[in-house]
Amino acid sequence: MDAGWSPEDRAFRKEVRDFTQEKLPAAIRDKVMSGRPLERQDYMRWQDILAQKGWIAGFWPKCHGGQDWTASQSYIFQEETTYAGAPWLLPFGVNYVGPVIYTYGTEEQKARHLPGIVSNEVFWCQGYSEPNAGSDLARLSTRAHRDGDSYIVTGSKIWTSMAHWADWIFALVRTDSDAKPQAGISFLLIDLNSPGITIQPIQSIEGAHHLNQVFFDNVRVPVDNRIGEENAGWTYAKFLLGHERVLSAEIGKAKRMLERLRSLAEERNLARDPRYLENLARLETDVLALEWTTLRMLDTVMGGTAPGVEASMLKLRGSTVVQEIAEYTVDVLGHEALAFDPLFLEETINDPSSELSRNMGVVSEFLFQRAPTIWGGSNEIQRNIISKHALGLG
Amino acid sequence: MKLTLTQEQSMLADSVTRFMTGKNATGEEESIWREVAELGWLGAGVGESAGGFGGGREMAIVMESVGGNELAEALAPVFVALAILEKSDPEAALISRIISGDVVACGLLPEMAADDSLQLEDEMTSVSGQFHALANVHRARHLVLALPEATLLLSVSDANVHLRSYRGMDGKTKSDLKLDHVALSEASVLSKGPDAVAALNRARVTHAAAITAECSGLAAALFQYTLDYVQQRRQFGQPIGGFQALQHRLVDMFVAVEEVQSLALAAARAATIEDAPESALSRAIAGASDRALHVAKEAIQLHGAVGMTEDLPLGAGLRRLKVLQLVPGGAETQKRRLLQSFN
Repeated sequence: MDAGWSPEDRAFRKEVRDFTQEKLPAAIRDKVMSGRPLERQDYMRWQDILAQKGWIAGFWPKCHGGQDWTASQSYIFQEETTYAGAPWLLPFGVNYVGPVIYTYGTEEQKARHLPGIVSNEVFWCQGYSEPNAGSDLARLSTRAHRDGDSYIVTGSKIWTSMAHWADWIFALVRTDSDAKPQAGISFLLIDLNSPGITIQPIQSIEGAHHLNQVFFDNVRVPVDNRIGEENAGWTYAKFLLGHERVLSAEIGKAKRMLERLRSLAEERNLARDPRYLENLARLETDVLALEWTTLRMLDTVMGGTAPGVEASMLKLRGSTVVQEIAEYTVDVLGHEALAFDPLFLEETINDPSSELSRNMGVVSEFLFQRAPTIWGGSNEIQRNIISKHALGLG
Repeated sequence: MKLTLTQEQSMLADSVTRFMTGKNATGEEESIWREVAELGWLGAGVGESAGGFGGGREMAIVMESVGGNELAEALAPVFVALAILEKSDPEAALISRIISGDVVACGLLPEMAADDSLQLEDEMTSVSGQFHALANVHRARHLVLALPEATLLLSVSDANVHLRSYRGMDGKTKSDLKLDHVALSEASVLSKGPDAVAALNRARVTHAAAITAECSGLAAALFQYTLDYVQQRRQFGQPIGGFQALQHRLVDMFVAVEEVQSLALAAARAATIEDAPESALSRAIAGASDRALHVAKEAIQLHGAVGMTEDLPLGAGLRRLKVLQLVPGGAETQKRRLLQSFN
């Protein structure tokens, strides 16, 4: 159904579609489509292609290396590339710390850090959660105390996606233990090569390694690496979380996963199976509702209103819908899903042409998709936000 | 993108809502119907060339704004009839008589008919079929049938048209309709072939936009009732809206209402530009009905015992939404059509 895109938007959609079709390497696309885990070089190769085109940070202002994309263009770019099987554009630099730096950073910080993000040369990760500060993020206890023109950072961050591949981490640290929890936090940019940092892998339930715990043992960080004011980090953190949530309704991904579901079902002669058809209709209806809710929000944003609880709503529904498609895809595999060994999915062993390993990709994705309802502010936290800000229920 | 309402459309929504406030009492149905015709709202169903002022979006706005009122049920089949007539011949004199409230005509779709009962016979010289639980037909002078082969205009007074009316679950009059070899004159066949298919498509998008808009208006009203209630009802020394167990359920209701609105918007857009796959229309109806029903049942639960009483409009909302689910052409029909369309 037509949402009334402008001619410019239609032209842009075609440009993104053609570009992705031409430039996305087939091997990477195949990995994404079959749900097998990606390596660092897979992400980097695709992001290098985007960087060359100037599309890594398209929604950034031109003065910082972006393209001044409208909200519609950002949406179209995300939908088209994801639908076509492009890897997730890693958000840590582009979507998270980048906007924080160009909004709150000093000229020096902008000059030092923004070009590396736009050129895809610097790999960032996000240091927010701690073992005792998850949903209650403001209780974080990684400490930073002043020593001359440095901070000395001690503590640990956890659930740090891709820290083992990253060059830098942006981290929330406690600089005042006596203030109220939110009031004693600062936002630091930390070079992961600094002495005193160790990164420990955490294996996820699908058997892959993307999560880590990052330990800081008296790590010296120049005060110049602090964003904005000392003890005002919570403001920047909330700004970042707003950016994080806007991205979360993954229409392109949901549509792509529905297509795979359909083709797997057809291969298994389920195309007329009433249980399959009923589930497919339900999931397709969920995606239709999600898509039009996203379009409504986009229309509001284009009209100049900043997204508020709408972003929480999209996170809530987007994560759930994608999760349910992933699970039902495994259900369609039936007993074929039961042969599963994560070792098979490792780059060196994996044979992309084998059906067995493709099925394992589906299982791997099902397990991995338990994460989106937990990350980015768990869905329970999103409900708290909506309850407070949309319903006025405190 | 132009998804938000224009100023005229917002004014239309406001004026319908204002008018409907306080019009919930039963027994004055006929007078409301006349007032509505006098206000010209039926003109929302057709464009200017047919003497109206609207199209799909305006029609949906009227339906959404009356959602929750008995009037919605009466309006929907008339809007479908208008859409079919406009597509067949925008200058037909009947259109203006319907808009003015002079006569009532109800539009019918093939999927509203009882299984396999609908048949064009003897080289399109007569039609037979059975329909159950039709709304507003007891008032109608005309029936407008959009079939893929032909668009038909029938008179309810025809000796071979049989009506049996009864009280429905939602308190409104329902009618079973039997067409028993109803003879078709030249005048009663409005179009054939591709023109008939086009009229049927128009009828379907209009039907989808109307039903989803009603779900949307109704779900929003039931949610607002509940939200107001939990802020005022106190137990354990505080408003029950302070309890997280209830807050999260209210959030899920809120999200469901938003999604019904999204699906209704998708259907209204489809009715405006008349370009949507049938399966998407079916999904919109099924999805809107499921979500609105969830909201209605939660509304009663969160009110507790008082939600079970006729003092509040919650039961009426549930009954109406159950009708929209089960009525032929409604959500259950659409779900079955979705299963078939893949075959």
